[in-house]
Amino acid sequence: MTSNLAIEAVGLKKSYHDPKRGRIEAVRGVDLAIRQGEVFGLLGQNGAGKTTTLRMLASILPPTEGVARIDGIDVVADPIEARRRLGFLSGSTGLYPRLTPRETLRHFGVLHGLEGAELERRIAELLGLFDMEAWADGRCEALSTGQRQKVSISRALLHDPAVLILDEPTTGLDVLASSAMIEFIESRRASGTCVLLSTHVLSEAERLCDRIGIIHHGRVLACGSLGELQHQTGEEWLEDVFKRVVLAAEPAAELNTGAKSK
Amino acid sequence: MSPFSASLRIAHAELLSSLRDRMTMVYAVLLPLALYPVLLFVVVQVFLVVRGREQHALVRVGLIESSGAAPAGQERLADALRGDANSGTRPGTGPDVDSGSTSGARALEPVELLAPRQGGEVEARAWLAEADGPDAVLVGPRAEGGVLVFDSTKGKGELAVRRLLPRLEDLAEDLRQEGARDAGLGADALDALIVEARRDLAPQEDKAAFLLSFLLPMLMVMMTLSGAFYPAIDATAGERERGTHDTTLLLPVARSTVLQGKILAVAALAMLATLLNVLAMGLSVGHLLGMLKGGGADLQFEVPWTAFVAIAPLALLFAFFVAATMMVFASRAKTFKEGQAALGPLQLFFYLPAMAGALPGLALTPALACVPVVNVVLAFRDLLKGRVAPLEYALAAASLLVLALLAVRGATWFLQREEGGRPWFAFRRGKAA
Repeated sequence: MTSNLAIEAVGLKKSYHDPKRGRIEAVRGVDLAIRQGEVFGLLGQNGAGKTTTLRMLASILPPTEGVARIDGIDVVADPIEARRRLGFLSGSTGLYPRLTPRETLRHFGVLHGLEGAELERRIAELLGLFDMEAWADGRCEALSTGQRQKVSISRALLHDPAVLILDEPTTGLDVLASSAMIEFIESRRASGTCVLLSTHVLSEAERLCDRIGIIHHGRVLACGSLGELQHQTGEEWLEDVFKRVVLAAEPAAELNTGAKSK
Repeated sequence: MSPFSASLRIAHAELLSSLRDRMTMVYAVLLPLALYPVLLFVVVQVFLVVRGREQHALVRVGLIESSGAAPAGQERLADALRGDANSGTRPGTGPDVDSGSTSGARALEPVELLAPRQGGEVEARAWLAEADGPDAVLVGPRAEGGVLVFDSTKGKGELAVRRLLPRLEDLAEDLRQEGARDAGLGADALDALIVEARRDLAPQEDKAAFLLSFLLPMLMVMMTLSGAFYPAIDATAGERERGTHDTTLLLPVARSTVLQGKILAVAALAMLATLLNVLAMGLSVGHLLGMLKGGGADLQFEVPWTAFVAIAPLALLFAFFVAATMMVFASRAKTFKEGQAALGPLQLFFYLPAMAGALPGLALTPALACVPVVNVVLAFRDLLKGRVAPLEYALAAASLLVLALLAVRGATWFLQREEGGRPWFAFRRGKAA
């Protein structure tokens, strides 16, 4: 166990069989070491392996190879404990449409071991924090995208997790809702929570992330602070940094994600 | 929180969600409540139309006379068959309370008497078979009474018997009372002449019980399937389609716990649908029989509530088995359409044994008690008839439980491939992200 790392991945791989394309290697050996209180951005194009990596870290998918730890807990050996220390949020929110925000929070709270007055206090606190009281008893399916995102954030924070994994959290959000999400991430950094964020919006990464990893064809090609990446590539803007790293890797990489392994 | 408590919590959320779903409410609650009254209303209307037409239909009756019958007696018999109100001398002959018809009504139920012939029952059957033959033939009268011969496969055969039998019974009663009076005896001193119709002589109650035990178990199986169908898809493919699958997988409980919670919810909804179906059907059929009683269709039966108490545990196990099996088949589906495509053919595997189990003559043996679905139908049938075979009943329950647990295991296995823990079988197909 590595006590000072909130998220750790060593040689993480995921491959699967596609009936049409044969064996697909979605993630080809990702190594990550993210400290507590750090905001880490995983940048990559669509299909680069970001979501698969995050889902393995969150114990939703079993890795084909490698080790993943959340707050020191091996997600393969003890997935339930790993999930207790984790808050996961995606752009699709994943809310049960026919439950109300209050019922959703109560459901997740109970299953995370909260109960009675403590649970109700925590729910009230989050409803107040995100200004949700007025619509907390209407069904989630009737909420706006921004309201759903607030419920989703509250659900991820309910059990006060040590690690937050956010999979393209601003996808589909309007400007105001995106801005609110960015403020939320900044607030979590201030509170010392480790945040792992996947995005392809480079401005978000520039603004939020302490360190950035660029993933391409299932491999992390570059990793460091913005300054370190600028130094490594000689580029000033993150967009240029990204292009240089990705294009430099293209000839060496197997261009098609559907390439069959030997 | 214990795994069982977590399962109950998940089942609670699933039930809450399902009961707020319009489609689930339609299939599990509204359909059973509305279907039977509507269907039976239609049946009653059709019945009334048919009865109305029957009232005006002419029935042709043949008479095969025994030699030596008194002409006066023949005349009186002919009057009785035609429904002549003056044919009877017995007080109160007018309105026929039992049959629901009256002298006035009889005038609307015309009977044509054909020219009599000589012979016996053999001749009567031959006459019936003729192309222009009568609808029924009365063989007699003899000293002990008469026999009404008819062919139930001919359109008006049953109608002829329904119309003629009460008239002949009235005449027989009048003759009995007259005979007693002429001999100076009491009103009940003589036996009545026997008027017999050559037809199925099984008591109405037995026939009703047979019909009920034949249909209800099969219907209960179908009701359970129908109740589980939509919730099973909603809890599996529906979650993927709505994008809540990952949310559920992120709960800090084992995948088997999630699955058990979902199965409990689906089984509860299946039971709810079955219960509502049985209730709605019972009330509607009871109401229908009450309406039809006045029309002579006195098909009455009663199922003791203890039969349903005995059925309940097996019905619960069956609902659990159905829910688990459906979850296995729907668990691979990514959309509702895929879920429906997966569960559609599966239903045949339930329907066909259910229909096979409803075949008359098939008995619940220890071997059949181990055959899923057939065992439930046969056990339900026995229990409805008031028969209890403890060994077979226990075997059927054990078989269902084992199969349900196997189905849960199978469904868990499908989920295991997405579990953080290593599955006991390496599953390599499927989408990773």
